[in-house]
Amino acid sequence: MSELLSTVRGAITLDISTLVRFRDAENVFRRGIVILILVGLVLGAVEFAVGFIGSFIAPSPEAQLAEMRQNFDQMLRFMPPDAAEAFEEQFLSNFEVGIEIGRNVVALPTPLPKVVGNLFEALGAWVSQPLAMLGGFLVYGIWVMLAAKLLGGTGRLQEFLGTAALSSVPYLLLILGWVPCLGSVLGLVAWVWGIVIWVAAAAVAHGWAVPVATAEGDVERYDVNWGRAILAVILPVLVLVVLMVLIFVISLVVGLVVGLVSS
Amino acid sequence: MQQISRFAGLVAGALFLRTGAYEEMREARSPFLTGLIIIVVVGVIVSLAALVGTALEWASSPSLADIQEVVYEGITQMPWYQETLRMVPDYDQIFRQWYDFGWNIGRAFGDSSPGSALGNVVLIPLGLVVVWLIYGLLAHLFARLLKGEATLSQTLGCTALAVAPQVLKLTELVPYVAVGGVVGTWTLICRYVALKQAHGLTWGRAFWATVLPLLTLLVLSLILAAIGVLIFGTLASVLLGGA
Repeated sequence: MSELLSTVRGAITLDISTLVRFRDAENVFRRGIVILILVGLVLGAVEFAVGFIGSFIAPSPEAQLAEMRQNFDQMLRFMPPDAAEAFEEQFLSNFEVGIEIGRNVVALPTPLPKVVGNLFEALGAWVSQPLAMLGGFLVYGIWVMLAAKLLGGTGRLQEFLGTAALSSVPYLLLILGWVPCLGSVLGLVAWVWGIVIWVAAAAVAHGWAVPVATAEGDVERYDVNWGRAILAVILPVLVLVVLMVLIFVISLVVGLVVGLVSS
Repeated sequence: MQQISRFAGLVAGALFLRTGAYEEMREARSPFLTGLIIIVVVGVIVSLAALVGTALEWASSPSLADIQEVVYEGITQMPWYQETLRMVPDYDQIFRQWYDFGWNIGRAFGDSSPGSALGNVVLIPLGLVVVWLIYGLLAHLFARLLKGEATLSQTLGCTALAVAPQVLKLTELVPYVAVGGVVGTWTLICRYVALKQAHGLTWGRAFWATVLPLLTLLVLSLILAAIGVLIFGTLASVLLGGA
């Protein structure tokens, strides 16, 4: 437990020697994945509590509908009268029946009591949280690994993914994600902090953190080639953006040509 | 018992990308048979867990037939529906026909009743075996073209260990769990390690040996889909033209 806490502390303070020790540990991939799952479970536990308790203290459907109606009324005040009338006629009347359908579906009988169903749903969301995090992590990890290899990285997949899994630790900040305003700021902080740990993990796993030894042979510090590590982490995103821009430009050109030919 | 613990150790080792697990499989007396047994056992266990989860989900949800009726009644009360009905008198019949058709399609593709989950106890292991054989054969072909050294049995044995991430689906024991794409991605990673270890390939060659079978299957599916559309289109035009 103390080793785990020491690793977590080293990761969030970007202590390269801690990351190197973690990279060289036996079963680094398993350890990294366990940490990521634990983070996911802790985050999911908050959502579980909010979801399950929320199912008991949620406002009545009538109150929810009244609140929605109030929000729409406020929105309608800013619209031109004609548009507001059309919106009310075309959308709101159908919307309210739609809400009524939802209420009737929720009120349908189930073989097990509703409270058990609510518990299952909250439990399912809890267990799904680390799986979703893990899925996103592995997909991004594969692309960063590929980019790092193309940039001359020498790391093994197991070591890189295991070390990079520590990038999930800052997401523990999202425990306070439900706090209004603060939640989104903490989300941004966690995301940036996570990216920085991705960069450090890429440097450590791919041989871009070279130990500098003292005269006695002890490691004094690490000379890190941050440039390549940063490039490896952002290259997949850059390639994706370039591809999307290319697809957009091509479809624009094709659309223009088709329009010109047909006219 | 010793054999069960050995297989469990292999699956756990493969899941956490321990190269030793893949090497042990490569050196096994019959990698193909060992791989086949592992895939079938994992498939059956995972589908049994999903069966329990589906049964619990079914017991805590309203019946689909009831939902279908409640939604239908609600839609027919909507102003747009009433307005359309005034303009098209037999719209209720047309709408009902298409509405029921949509629900039947939904049931055909997304039926999560305990009955269909029971069928999966046979279908999932079978599906896993078929996918493993097709992928394994193509991967062996490409790995050998890329100067790989393993035999077909060794390739199949090692790629069989890529079934290990399926154990994540044990979480489906809990109803409403969404496993998502993590199994597919992790399987791909396991296949890369499997081919690298089985054939002694460099990372670049192992990468291509891993993705080329998938690209080949994608191209083949596109070609088959195009042929299907062509045949279907021709038949439809002949039939409609004849009518």
